Order: sequence, then structure tokens, then C-alpha cells
Amino acid sequence: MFMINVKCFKSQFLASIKIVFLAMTLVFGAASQAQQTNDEQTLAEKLQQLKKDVIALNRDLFVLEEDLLFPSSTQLVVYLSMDVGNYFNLDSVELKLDDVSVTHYLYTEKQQAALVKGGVQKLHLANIAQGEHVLTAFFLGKGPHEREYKRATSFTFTKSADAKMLELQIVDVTANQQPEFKVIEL
Amino acid sequence: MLLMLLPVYVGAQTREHQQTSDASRLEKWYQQVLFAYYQDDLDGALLQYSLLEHYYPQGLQQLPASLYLHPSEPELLKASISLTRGLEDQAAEIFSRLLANYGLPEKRTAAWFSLGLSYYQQGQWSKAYEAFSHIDAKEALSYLDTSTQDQLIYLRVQLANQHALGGQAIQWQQQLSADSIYHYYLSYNQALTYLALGQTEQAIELLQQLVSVPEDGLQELLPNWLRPFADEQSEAEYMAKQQEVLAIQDRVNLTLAYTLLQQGKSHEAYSAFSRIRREGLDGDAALLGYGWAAAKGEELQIALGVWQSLMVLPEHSEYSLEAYLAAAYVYEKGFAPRQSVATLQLGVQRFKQTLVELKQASQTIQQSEFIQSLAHNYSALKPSIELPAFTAQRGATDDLLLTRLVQSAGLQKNTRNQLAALQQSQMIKQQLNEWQQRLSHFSLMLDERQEQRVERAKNMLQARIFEKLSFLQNRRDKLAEQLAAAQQQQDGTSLMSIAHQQSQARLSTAQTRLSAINQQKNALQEPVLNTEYDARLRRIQGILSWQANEAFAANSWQAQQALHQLDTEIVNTAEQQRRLLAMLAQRPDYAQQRQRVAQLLSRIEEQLARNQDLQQQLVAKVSAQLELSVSQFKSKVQGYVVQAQLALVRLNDQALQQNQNELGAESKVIPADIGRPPALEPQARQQP
Repeated sequence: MFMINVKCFKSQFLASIKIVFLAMTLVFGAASQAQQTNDEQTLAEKLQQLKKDVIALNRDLFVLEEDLLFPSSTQLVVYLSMDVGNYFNLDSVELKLDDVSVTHYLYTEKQQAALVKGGVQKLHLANIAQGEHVLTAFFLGKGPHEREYKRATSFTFTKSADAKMLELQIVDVTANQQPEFKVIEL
Repeated sequence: MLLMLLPVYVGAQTREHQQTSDASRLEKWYQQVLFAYYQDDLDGALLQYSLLEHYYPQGLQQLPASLYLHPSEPELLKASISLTRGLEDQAAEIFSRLLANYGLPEKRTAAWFSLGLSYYQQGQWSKAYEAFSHIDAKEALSYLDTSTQDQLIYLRVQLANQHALGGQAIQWQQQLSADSIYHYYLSYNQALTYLALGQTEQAIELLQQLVSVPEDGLQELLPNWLRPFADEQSEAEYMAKQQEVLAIQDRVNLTLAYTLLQQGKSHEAYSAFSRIRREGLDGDAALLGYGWAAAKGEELQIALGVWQSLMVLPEHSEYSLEAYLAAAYVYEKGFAPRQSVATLQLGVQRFKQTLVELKQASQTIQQSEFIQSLAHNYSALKPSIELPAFTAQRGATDDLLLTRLVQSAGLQKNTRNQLAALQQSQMIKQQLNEWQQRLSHFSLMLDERQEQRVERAKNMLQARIFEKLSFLQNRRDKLAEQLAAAQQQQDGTSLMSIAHQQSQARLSTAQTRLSAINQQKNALQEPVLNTEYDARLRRIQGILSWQANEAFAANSWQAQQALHQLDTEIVNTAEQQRRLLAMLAQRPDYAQQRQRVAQLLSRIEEQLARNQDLQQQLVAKVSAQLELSVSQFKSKVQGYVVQAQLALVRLNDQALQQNQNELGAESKVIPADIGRPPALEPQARQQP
């Protein structure tokens, strides 16, 4: 009877060692069962396919949204880009369309960096009537020598039946070491 | 000639302008991708990529050269983002297509490494092996930093071992840098392999080499392994890695200690156990083993103290439960059978309580909501390598037993991947539900627009078209009447110009005035005015009549023309009015837009169904994994119950036998050593 007990303790202790080893083997995962791996793979593939389809769905939703809310006959898009950005550190932009303020945008450091690295921001998307309009952009930030800098630029354009795209460009002019602000039609 | 060429020139200019405009719009799309990417908004970047390719299917190949360093760069960026967002196959397709001839070996090497690592983390070994095979050893040396090179070698060794390519694995291992932490991992894995093969001496030797790394153990390797941190995030990362290293150290010591204990080297085991941190994940296991080592070294008090500290732990783990059996053993060995019985009885109570809680845990695990909330709170920090296997999920639930079970299941890469996948699936579901909501708003918006359009058409119709038609009709009637009268009287005066009409009116006024003057003069008996006035007026009248007669034919023709023109205008206006009326009669419907909304809604529903199906499968898998942990633990606890009950029976039996012996001794003369219980035989109990 006593020997049974000893065996019990012994087997239990050995079992605990085995468990530790089992756990370690799992941790360092040499090879799992083939079936399980296949199942995992199938699920991972399903998830990937789902993600791809969701991205396509998001795209189509975006296109539909733009078609419905901003049809080309009335659409106005204003982009903002920066070239180099040595002479100007953009803090905010205010847009006025026909003397009515339509956008006021504050920039984070990440956004400033993204613009300097070559990114372009879709700053404003709106519907306007066909005909002549005036866009005025006010730029606020730090200019050369870390001085407060505020500049504005105006642009008159004619909206036709096609979508109108404008780009606000902030460009460094090395000749006078000043930033230049301009609006171009795309 | 010049005029003939003008339309051609204008057409060419328009086309050129159109092309320039298209190019700059394409450029803007790509720059929007960059804007999102540089802000780490990878989902936004993927969406912009998708939109770019929707509007310009070949757009990525047509971007202006000023936007990239290499023509493949835009696509490779897409592949990298896809890889980060878990679209490995999409990334692999792009990498395979572009990287073979990519001009920048640095980026090529990094891309294949990232892809291989991603596959490895998902447990897709063959794909990982294939991705790593694209990395040239020389290029890896040139373009990867030392720690990444070591990581690559480690992964390759692991994969080679899995593909039973031991020789290749050894070759790879030899290329690890001297101070790499991966030496440690690979050596430890090698020791485990020795143990599995029964080559215990070699395993012990290897493990001892690992723990003989100077006092601070792996800490010394840390400075070479991790870059110095610059911000809070790096510091947190550093601390996490440091904890990881300590956990590895604990695990090596634990393995060594138990192996030594199994070999009967209790003193060496004792010191190995003592090196393990109490607060680490292996703290309880170490404490249990420490007790066994102490018991084997006849340090029964120490063993009892250690096990009692485990017994009071609130968590039902194999260590806290086994401590009851172990403590009972020590009591028995120390001639305290009553305490041994009492401990066993306490143990049985706790085992049964554990079984009850396990049953409850099993029921909880079956609930989908539990698994969903587990995934929802899952902190899916993507491991750089499989080191975080040591950092099991903590605090997933308030229930200690469930937490332990989750930890146990969380040790497995599969379960971690499943939980991460489930979390992503939950996010997809949330997104799809939001879109569904938005689309319902679109339907409402279309309804509103439809009503507005009807209203506007009505207003337009009422305000202008009806007025215009009646005005035209009046003008026409007047003109026709005028023409008819002129033709009837053969008097062309009414058809003459306004100036002529005015002259005629002035003449009539002059004649009236002359007649009035003559009458007044007669009344005053004065002589009338000179006849020259009258003659002049008659002459002018003659001239005007002559002009009117001369122009009569032409004016009649012009009036006819004007009448005809008015008739045409009236017909056109009537037609316009008819069309508007027809349009009003026909209900405007935005059919195309409604169809698109409906299609998107149906796609969302389809994706929701697929996502639901995927979630169910993932929940079932995680649940099964947890259930396996529960059943394994349950059978272990049932084993403890059986052992404790057997020990109780035996102890009671011994006590009964002792009582009988004592009763017998009162009537007989007994030898002095006969009452010693056989259970105290040291040789028999010291073999754990």
C-alpha cells in the first residue's frame, strides 16, 4: 500500500516535469500538427480575403459617396502641397470662398512632416454653383528665423460643368529665402 | 488655309490639356497615398491606393518619375503597407513580381525579410521558408543590421529544423554573431531536443553552460541586443525585452533544476531553483520544485514552509494544488500522520472546489460572448519574434482560474493568432455596421432629393413656361390682326418702321393744329394763315404715303415672316411645356444611384455573413483550445483527488493497525522497535 503511494507521488512529480517540458516544447513550437496548421492557414486566408474585399467595399462606398454628395457638375476640390518647407512651417490654413470662410485647418507635426515629405492633403471638398468664384487662402505659421508669418493669396476661377480642382502650393524660393504661396488649377 | 487648320490645332491643344490634367490628378492621388502613409494611417493609404487604381487601373506604372527613386517603388510601398495590415498574400504577389529585378538590393532584402517574418509569425512555415530563400547571404550581411541578421539566422535555423534539415541548421547557427541572444535560444532548444531523445547528460551539460553565463546572465547581452532607447515607447519596449530575458533565464534554470532533481542531484537542483525569480511566470513551479529538492535533502521544515506558502495562494494552479499532496507527504515523513490527514482533507476540499470552478469555467468558455470579450481586450502587440511566448496574457478576466486557463492556452501561438484574428474580425464587423448605417442615410438623402426635384420642376413650370406661351400668343394675335387690316385697306402705314409711324403722328398733330388755328382766326374774323403751311403739310403727307406704298410689299413680307417666326416659337414653347409636363408626370427616381446603394448594401450583408462565419470558426477554435486546457487541468485535479483519497485510506488504515497493535501490546510483551511505521522508511520515500 505504501509503495502505491510512493508511486503516486513519483508519477505525479514526473507528470509535472513532463508538463513543464510540454509547455516548453509548445513555447518553442517546433512543429504543430499538420491538420491544425492547415486549418489555421485556411482561416488566415479567409481573413485576408475578407480584408481585401472590405477594402474594395470601402473604395466603392467612397466613390458612391462622392458621386452622390459632390457630383462633378458642382464639385470643387482644393489640395494643399508643400515643396521643401525650409522657409515656412505651416500651422494652419483658412479658406474663404467668395468671402465666406469654408475651412479652417490646424496641422499636427505629423501632418506637417507628411506634407514636407511629398504628401498632398485634400483640404476642401465642396459643391459650388457654376460661374465665377474667388478663392482666398490664409496661411499661418513660422516663417524664416522662426517669425510669425501670415500670408494670403487669392484666385479667381470659373466653375464649369466639370469638376474643378485647385491646388494651394507653398514653395520655397531660394532667391529671396522666402516662402511663396500660390494657387494653380489642375 | 489657316482657318482650316485651326480646329485641328484647338483639338490637339484640348487633348494635351486633358492629358496634363489627368497626369496631375493621378499624381495627386498618389500624393494623397503618401500623405496618409507618412502619418502612419495605413488603412487610409490602402484606401487611397485602391481609389487610385479604380480611377487609373495602370496608374502606378504611369506616375511621374519625380515621385519615386525607382519605378517599382509605388507598388513596393503598397506591398509593404499590405504586409503591415495583414494582407501577406497580396504583398507576396507584388514582391515576387517586382523584387527579382529590383534595382535596390537593400530594399529587396528588407522586403523579403519582412514577408518571411510575417509568415513565420502566422505559423506558415513553408511560405516563410520560401520568402527567406530569396535573401542572398551576402546581401543580408551588407544590408541588414546585426540584430536583424541574427534574427534571420535564428528563424532560418528554426525553419530548417522543422524541415528536418539539421545540417543546414547547424551551418546557419554558426553564422550567428558571437554575442547574439539567439545562441541562447538555439542552445536551449537543443537541450530540449536532447531531453526528448533521452540524452540527459548532454542536456544537463548544455543547460549548465547556459546558466553559467556570468552572474547577470543574459543582462549582459542586452546592450548588444537592443538599441538605446530615445523616447518613452523605446523605454517601455526595452523594459519588456528585459523582462523577457529574465523569463528565459528562469525557464532555463527551471528545466535544469527539474532535470537534476530527476537525476537525484538534489543539491545542484536546489541552487538552480533558488536562481529563479519568485515574481516570474515560473515562480510557482520553482517553489514546488524547491520544496522537493529540500525534502530530498532532508530539509523537511524548509520544504513544508515552501509548500504551505503555495497552499495559501488563492489561484488554483497545479502548483498550489500539488503543494497539499507534497505537504502531506512531508508531515507523514516527519512522524505527523494526523497533520498529514488534516492536510489531505483540506486538499480534497480544495480539489473539489477547483473541480466545481472548472465546471463553471467550462460553461463560461462555451459562451461566445466570453471569447469575444477576450479577443476584444486582447493586446495584440505583434511580436518581433516568438519571444513573447513567455509573456502570457494577464488580466484577461477577473476570475483567477479563467485567467490561468487563458494564460495556459495563450502560450500557444495558434491561440494568440486566433485571438488576434478574432479581434480584427470584430473591427471589420464594426466597420461594416457603420457603413450599413451610412448607406441607409444615402437612401433617405435620395428620397429627399427626389422630392426637391419635383418641387423645383413645378415651380419652374408655373413661373416661366405658361407665362411665356400666353405672351407669345398675344403678340402673334396682334401682329396677325395688324397684317390683316393693312392688307385689307391696302395701307402700308401700319407696317412701317417706328420712325415712320412717329413722323406720321407728328404730321397729324401739325395738321390738327393748323386746322384749329384757321378756325380760331375765322372766329376772330382775321385772315387765315398762308396756304403755304397747308401745302407743306400735304406735301409731307404725300411723301409719307408714297414711302408707305413703296415699302408696303416688303413690309407685308417681313410681317408675314415675323408672324411665321412667332408661330414657330409658340410651337417650340408648347413642345417644351409638353415635355416638362411629361417629366412631371413621370416620377423622377435616381434609379442608377439607388441600384448602386442597393448593391453596396447587399455586398455589406454578404461580407457581414462571411465575417460572422469566420468569427464563429475562430470562437470555436479558441473555445476548443481553452476547453482542452480545462479538461487537461480537470483530469489532473481528478488525479489529485484520487491520490489524496488513497493516501487518506492508507493513513487511516495505518492508524487503525497502530491502534490494534497498541491494544495487543497491553496484553503481550512486544519488541521495542516493532511500532515504527514502515512509512518512515527513508529509502522508500526519497525517490520522488
